[in-house]
Amino acid sequence: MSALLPLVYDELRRVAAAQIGRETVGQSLTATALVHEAYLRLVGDQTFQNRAHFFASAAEAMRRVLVDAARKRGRLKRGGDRQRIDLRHIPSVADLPPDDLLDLDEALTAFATEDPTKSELVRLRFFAGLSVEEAADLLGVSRATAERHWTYARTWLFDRLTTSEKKSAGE
Amino acid sequence: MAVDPKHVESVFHAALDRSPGRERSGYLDAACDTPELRQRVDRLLAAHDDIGEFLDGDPADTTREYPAPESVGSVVVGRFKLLEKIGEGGMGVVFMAEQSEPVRRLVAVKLIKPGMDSQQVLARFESERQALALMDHPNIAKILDGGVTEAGRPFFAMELVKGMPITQFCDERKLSVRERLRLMVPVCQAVQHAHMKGIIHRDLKPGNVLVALYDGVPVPRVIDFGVSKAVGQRLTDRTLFTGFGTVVGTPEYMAPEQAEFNQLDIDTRADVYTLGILLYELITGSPPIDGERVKKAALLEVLRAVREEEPPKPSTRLSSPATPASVAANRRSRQDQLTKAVRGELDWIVMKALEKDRGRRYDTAGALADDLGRFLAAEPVLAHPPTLAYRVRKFVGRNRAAVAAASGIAVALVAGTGVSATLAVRATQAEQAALQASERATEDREISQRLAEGERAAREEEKTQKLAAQKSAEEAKSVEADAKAMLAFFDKAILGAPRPQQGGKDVTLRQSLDRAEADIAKAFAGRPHVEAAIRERYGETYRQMGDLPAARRQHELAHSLRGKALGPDDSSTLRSGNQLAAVYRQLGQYDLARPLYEENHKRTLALQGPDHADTLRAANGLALLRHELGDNDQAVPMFEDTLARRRKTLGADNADTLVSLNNLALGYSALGRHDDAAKMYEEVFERRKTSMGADNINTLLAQTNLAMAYHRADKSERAIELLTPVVASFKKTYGDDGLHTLRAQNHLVVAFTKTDPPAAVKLGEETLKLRKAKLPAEHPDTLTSQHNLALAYRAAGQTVKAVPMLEEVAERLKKVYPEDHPDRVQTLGWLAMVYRETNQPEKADAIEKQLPKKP
Repeated sequence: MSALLPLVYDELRRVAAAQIGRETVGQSLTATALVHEAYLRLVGDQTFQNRAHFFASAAEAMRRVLVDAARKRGRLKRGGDRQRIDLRHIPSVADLPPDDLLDLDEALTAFATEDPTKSELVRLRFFAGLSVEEAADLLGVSRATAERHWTYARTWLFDRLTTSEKKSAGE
Repeated sequence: MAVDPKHVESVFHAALDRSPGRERSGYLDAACDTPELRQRVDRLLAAHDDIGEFLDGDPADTTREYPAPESVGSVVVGRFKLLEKIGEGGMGVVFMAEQSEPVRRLVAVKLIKPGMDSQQVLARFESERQALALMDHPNIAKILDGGVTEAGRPFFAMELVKGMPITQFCDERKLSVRERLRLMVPVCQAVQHAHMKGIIHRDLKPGNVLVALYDGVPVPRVIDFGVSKAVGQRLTDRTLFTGFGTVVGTPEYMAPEQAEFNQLDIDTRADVYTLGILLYELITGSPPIDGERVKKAALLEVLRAVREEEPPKPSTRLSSPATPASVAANRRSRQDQLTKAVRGELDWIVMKALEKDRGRRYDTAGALADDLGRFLAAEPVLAHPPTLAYRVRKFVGRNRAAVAAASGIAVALVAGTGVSATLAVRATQAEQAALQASERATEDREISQRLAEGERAAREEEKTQKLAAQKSAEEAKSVEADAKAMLAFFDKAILGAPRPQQGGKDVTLRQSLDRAEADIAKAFAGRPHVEAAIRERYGETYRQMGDLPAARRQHELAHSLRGKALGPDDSSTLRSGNQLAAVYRQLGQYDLARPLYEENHKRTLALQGPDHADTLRAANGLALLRHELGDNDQAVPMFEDTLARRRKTLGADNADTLVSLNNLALGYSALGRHDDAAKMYEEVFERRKTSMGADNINTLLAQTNLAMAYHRADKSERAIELLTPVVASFKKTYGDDGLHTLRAQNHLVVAFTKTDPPAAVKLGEETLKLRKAKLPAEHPDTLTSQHNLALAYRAAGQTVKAVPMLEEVAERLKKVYPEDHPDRVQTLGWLAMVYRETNQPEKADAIEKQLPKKP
């Protein structure tokens, strides 16, 4: 991953900066399209090994792009009371306000120390826009297993985010 | 917290597998050996129950994020009341709506899915509005209006077509293949009409070709012209991707070139391809790339298939066991009959439309319509070249029994020289044999009739040709008269000029030309075409000699002569106008150049269509003007389009194509895309060197541009190496003060400023002096020289001298360019800089306040 990452990162940054910086809605839409565009530019019709490699790098690169953007925006908006959102109605990372995206990223890091495989699945899904099946193929696990991983990972993250929410709401 | 995560997970899953309630709690009681484990699993199970749709959506699915604010009952932009939802697709929702102004009528309003840049959609729509308004065809549903709703969604209002998709219509009515083809002919013609007006559909598919009954007659109508362009459906756009493997838009109805990730180069032949897909589906029941496959395969794979996979011939698809029997039944046929009917010509027609290489497709949608017409009229189709061998094969194939009975015939046919006559005779014989022999009788008679008709047609044509010959003899006489007048003029003006009694033996050609100019009007009285042509030549010569005011006068006269004689919409009037506009542009008279260029481009496009050389020349001129005025956002797409069309129609090495490539590079440079530009300059230079030679003016100009690309890339030494011989060569051809010489020299000043400021100052002073002598003080070239000289002074440590020069340039530029022109901004920026360097910060501040803010 190390060799490809800077390349992917630069490529994504270059194209993403303008669009994400503008705070348009639907940023992951753009992000997903960007990942695929970058894929075609950088990998083209390469082998499976490269595909897996690429998407892992792309997910990491896109995560960084989004997190950087969220940090910047979070900073700009700091000062008011943080508005709580109902996570049950957030179907996509794109819908998360900057602060919640940062929370999610933090939760994901914690989850990775407990279970690296599942966190990788989550990252592929969230940041490279892959479906569970596609991520399963890339990670070399069966789709049924991937579904179970996905259910568990989602539940774990939801629990963690809602618990901390309750805590901070009580402060 | 000594709970093992692995353990938690397995208990969690096992609990989930059991139904909630007693079964689950019983399991948990047994499985959890510590209270911590139980507590942890309970919490996760509770979270799981409560989780809603948390992050489970398609990662990029937007449909849920934006509840549509417009719904039935709401009124869009005060004019369209939404009555009923009548459709929904990848791009958005369609409503039937009532329009209140300017007329009360029912229309279809398409609301584009939110999440797109509505300003861009609107801008692209506005740029096509003019062309869309020109479309007028009974089989096209007109776009009536477009804009952005109060809630910020782009919308389009169009004629309401109450019909169903063409494929569905044909299947429901069980139309035969021939009936289906008959329905497709007007569809192709409608698309052809739009192409003539410069509109490409880009998204032809069954849902955009609706069929409704009018007085019991099925009439197809194509909807959504202009929408796809406005919405900007490009693969790089998010409009197409909603996530991995999901595509808005429809890859099964895409031309191979639309499945590229760099879709700069889409032309009318993409629509020809998609018409081929429609035909394919109407004949075989499914598009070449099946919707099922699109759903299953990964997006990239589908796009690859669109680009590369040769679809099976329609007859092959029909005979495949995978094709359901309902396909034939829906066409009132049996599978074997249907396959046989399609095999051959119909296969060829469809496959010619579906050529991956668009150069081998039908050139136009009209050509496809014509071939369908030929097929329906049982005439030989173009899709397979109608060589003698082909026609014989076709004929013999159809009359195998007859040919076998009279075996001499085949030989006679192949050896025959008077092809159609021989065939006609043989046809009668074949007909008799066939009549007795087989069920193919009717077809045979058709053939012989057709051949007989062919004879008649040939006689008709002969008559027409005789008439044409008479007419051209008359024309020839008038041409001869014109030629005589011209010869007389040239004899007096040029050939006879050195005769002592006329101009004197030492007269220069320029003097003779100038003197003869006064006689032009008299010499060609009553021959406005000839006078205009002569004046255009004069204008071109003056222009190349650098005498722009004289050139302007000639082109103005020529243009007005042609306009009076032929009207504003004649092709030669338009060409003349384009030349005049170019002279205005070179004179820096942008207020005259702009309206003329715009008008000319509009009229030429309407007259000649988008691919015609005249249209492309007009487009190139207009784009160049916009580029010079600093409007590169508008200029670059025009350059790109012109380049693509010239590459397509003229080839990559053509001189005009290279002009376009060079101009596009200019645009890219102006937008800061220096790397792209440098590559293109390099290509122009290399191609010109090969095709025109190293000394050709165009090669030298390309060399200049390439040099400046090097300079911008901080390789000024290399730039100077390239520029020095160019200046020398121009001096030889155009003189020390030639337009081109001074331009190249000016570039050299810029390059020297970086490497050798004193040399830059010396050369800059010389260049400016020559330019001031030759051009008006406010000519863009003069001002550029002055600006560059000022910067050379500064680089040479004489900033004090630079200040008044830049002040003067800034003042004069106000009269030439609009406020936000890059040259003005640049000069002001430098002026502020030298103010600071000469300790006048207040003045610098004052300037920087007026400068546009950098984004």
